[in-house]
Amino acid sequence: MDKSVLVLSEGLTQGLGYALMIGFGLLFLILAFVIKRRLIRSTHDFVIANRKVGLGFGVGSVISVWTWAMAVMMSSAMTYQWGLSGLFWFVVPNGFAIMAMVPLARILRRKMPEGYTISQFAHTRFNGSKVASIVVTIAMIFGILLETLINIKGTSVVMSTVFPIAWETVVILTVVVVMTYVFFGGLWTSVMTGTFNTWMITTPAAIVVVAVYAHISGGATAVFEAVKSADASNLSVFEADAAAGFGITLAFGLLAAVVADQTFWQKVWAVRKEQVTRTFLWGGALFYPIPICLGMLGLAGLAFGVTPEEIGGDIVAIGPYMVSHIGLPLILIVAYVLVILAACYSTIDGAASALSSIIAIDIIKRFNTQTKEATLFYITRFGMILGGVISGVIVLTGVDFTTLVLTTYALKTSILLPLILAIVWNKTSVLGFVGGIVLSIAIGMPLRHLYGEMVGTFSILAISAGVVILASLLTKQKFDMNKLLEAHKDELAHDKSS
Amino acid sequence: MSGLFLFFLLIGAAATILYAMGYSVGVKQAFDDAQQEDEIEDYQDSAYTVTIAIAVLASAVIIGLVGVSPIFIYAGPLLAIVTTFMVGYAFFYEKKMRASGKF
Repeated sequence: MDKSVLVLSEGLTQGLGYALMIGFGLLFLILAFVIKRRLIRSTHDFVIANRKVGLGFGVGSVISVWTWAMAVMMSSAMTYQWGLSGLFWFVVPNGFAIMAMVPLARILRRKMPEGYTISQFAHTRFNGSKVASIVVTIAMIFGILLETLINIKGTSVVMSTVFPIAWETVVILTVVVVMTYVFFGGLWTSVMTGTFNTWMITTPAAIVVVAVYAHISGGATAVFEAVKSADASNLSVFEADAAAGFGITLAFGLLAAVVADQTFWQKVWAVRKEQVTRTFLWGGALFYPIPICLGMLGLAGLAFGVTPEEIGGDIVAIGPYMVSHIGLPLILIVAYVLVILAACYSTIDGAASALSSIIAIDIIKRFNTQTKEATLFYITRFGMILGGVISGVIVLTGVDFTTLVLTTYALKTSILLPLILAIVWNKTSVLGFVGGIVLSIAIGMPLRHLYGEMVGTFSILAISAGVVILASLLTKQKFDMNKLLEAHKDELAHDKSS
Repeated sequence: MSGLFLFFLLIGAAATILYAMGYSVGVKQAFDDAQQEDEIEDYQDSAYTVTIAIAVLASAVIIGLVGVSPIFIYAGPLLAIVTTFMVGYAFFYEKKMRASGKF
């Protein structure tokens, strides 16, 4: 196909970029004010939405939180790099990871109906063990910081590429905009704006992708034939390279990213209990079309034979490159930018809300049980803002966040199976839980460094599960899961009424 | 403007209208719920194993089909609009469940 038709569209001015970022934020700020006035009366409402999030907002917010700005671009990038095998291995485990929460969420919502955080579960489940709950709390905070700064980074890359805006300005603006609107309404704001964003990342995304193909001479058939004639293996989902290259490790990484993430656990306890199973089932199933749809931009990039050098060396830019170079009307390019902004904002505000629940329950309430409601409310909100500011500063300093990525990877992967066992197996002991996490990191991370990601991931998973099972069988402890029911009687709700 | 693009615009608009209507129903419900302390105790968790298996299999098959015929390139965009439609429908589905008392 003739690459010379790919020319950067005009009209993408600095003012338009600012208007999109701020305008989106203002819209959500208005919504946040309404939410604050009608739905937020206490910290309990702020961090857990009074456990009254319904099916529609539950599904919408789960989809939007799981659709990271990078995921919007990665689905195109994986297709571009590995063909349909790349898309297959990127997409299939992604939706499954959300649905894998169903059995775990169902158990915990029944056994611990008045919970708030997964660290709180660990604290109760292991008879007040500070080590167990601190390990889980640290893993959750690292995860939240990482997802926040990755999304800030992703947005800054896209906005500064498409519009003539300095990436540092985008970082500051993103933090200010999101933290401003989420400050007022907490989880309710996050789920309502997130559900709005789910519309943004579905229908406008679909229209943009169809428009890209409509602008290609010969349309989908021409793309299909061009990809086939260049390398027919790119149209197969059975290429082993993609599985070995990233697919298998990504599958486990995604599972860990959901199961060991307070962003999702917060929703388990915030959604109305009769809708929890449906929320995660529908959320996972309805998520699938989004990356499949956006992956088609990568296929178009393959058809044109675009090289990584032509898109700045980073393959995640293939989606934005195709959209901004195929000759689309300005309104459709703007729609694509809004898709990415929607994905970014919703993930950051979801992470900020999750952080607010950790601050309230696992830090303030754990270590200072006498904290007054008004004080708790302010500390929770300002702590959440602090988390956003720290993430923004990390991105602004330009430091390499490899260490943070590796630490979060190690914590999340090592915690995955011990956490699942703690939920489903009443013999899981604190020694096994903590020992499994510590030993799997101590042995698995050096193995990962020496033999690569796949060996490292499987080592961490095998060691963490093996140690938990062995130590738990040896210690012969049995936890009465009914204690979970008694331990938490909506402590923040009690504060509200007192 | 191609016929196909127009088709997607029309179904996208229809799904958006349903979404907006559902969203307003959800907001109204949330505001009403804030005044009440109702708890639904009588509910059944829906079966999930088969649904998960079907969803995973369907996603894999759809991606596989893109490599079989170019028409399936449009399956992703079409299903993305179905997602819009279904999330909008979820608000009405819940309202219906509440009205009937069957969860």
